Amino acid sequence: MKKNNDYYSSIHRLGRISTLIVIILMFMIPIVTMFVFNIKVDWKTTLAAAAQLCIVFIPTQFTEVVSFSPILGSGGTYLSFVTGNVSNMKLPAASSCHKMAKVDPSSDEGEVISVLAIGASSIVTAVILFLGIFLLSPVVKYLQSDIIQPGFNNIMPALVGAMLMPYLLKKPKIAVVPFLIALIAGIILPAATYSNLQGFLLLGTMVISVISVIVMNRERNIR
Amino acid sequence: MKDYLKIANSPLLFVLCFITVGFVMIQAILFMRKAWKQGIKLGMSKEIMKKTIRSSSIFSIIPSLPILLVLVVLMPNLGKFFPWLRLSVIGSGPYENMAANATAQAFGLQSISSSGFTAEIFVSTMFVMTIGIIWGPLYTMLGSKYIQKGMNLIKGKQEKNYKDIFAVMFISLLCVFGGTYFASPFKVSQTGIVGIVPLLVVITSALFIWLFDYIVLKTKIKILQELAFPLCLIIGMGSAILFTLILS
Repeated sequence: MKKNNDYYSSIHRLGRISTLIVIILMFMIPIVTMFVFNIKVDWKTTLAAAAQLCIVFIPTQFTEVVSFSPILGSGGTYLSFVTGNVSNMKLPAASSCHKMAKVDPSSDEGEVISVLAIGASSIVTAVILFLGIFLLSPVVKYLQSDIIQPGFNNIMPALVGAMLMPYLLKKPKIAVVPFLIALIAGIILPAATYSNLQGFLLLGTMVISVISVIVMNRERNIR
Repeated sequence: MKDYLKIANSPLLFVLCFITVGFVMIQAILFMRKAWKQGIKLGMSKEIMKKTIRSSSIFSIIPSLPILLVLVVLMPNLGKFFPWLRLSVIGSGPYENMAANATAQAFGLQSISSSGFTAEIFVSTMFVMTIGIIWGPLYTMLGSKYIQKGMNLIKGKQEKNYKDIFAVMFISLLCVFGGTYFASPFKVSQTGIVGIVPLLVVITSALFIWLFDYIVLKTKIKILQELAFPLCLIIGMGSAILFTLILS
């Protein structure tokens, strides 16, 4: 047990310090540019524009961190929220590797696999984007073709299907409640409202589904 | 060329962005090193850990491609380097575009491609894009430790149920991602029949992952085990192209 505690406390230390450094580095970019090129910033308008975004992102990013991090694991959470593209890349990368390695994602081995998968995924994306700056024009012509657009527009559905199926086969009963909630929300809410509320839907669905599992298992045990 | 692009494409901006992306890469390597050592301590095989890195790298190529497209949209207006940074570090495709345009609009312009976009607005845009997205890492930095404590508490109290609890959390996440796809047959009057394409894609990739798992189980083809997931993604995307052609 002590070995594990050592690992987790060192992961949290590394995570906190490195995330703080990333945040500072990110702010350094506009700050240094502003001073070196002697640019006057209209703070009133800038902060007004930032406030507009913050109204949306302060609550939604909170719901995302709370609902994603139990699944991404400790190390995986730090890496994912610094590198972004969590739902369309980091989560599927980790999840598919858990399945391949046949480890329980909530176990200590699952944590190791998450970090390795998410780390590798982050590096690959950064490299592709870096190459993209220089090699962009020939590649983009193909990527922008009308025929293949529906392919790129449907990455999420393809990932959802591939990630959901193994769980449905293993645990169909517990999937009923979250599926129904999502289905009803999908029917009632217009698409734009649904995506705006997605963070809250996530948290709500998780809480209700977890309670339903506890109740279901209790009833089964009573019988 | 717009004047501010001299700044946006300047060596200074390259260096600033490169340092940040470079640091994030070092961060990823440090985490992976810790995880690798922990894996060895736990008695995991090196082979499976190498396989994880390989499989995740291969999988990540495809979802990275549409991010390149966002880079294309942003580069003419925000220069080469800042969009590269933002799409590599935090950020996601749709967010970056929206945040940049919201800033342009606050300054009375129509979008970032408007001719009135100046160096001042460019720097403001960088500030706004940074302030807007910083919350995710900030919350993780401050709260991740406590979330893990909370999960450990649940693990202790609900030991028997824990695997199910974890599974249902994951299923909830996926169901909510898929809610609009599942609901699409009920919305055909609004979207037209082509609106059910995402649902068909969900079903296709689900069927193929099941098929691949079955083949792996029966034949023990190791390489398929590693590639099943990326293959499903490609097949799902391919099916989207096919369904769209048929239904539209």
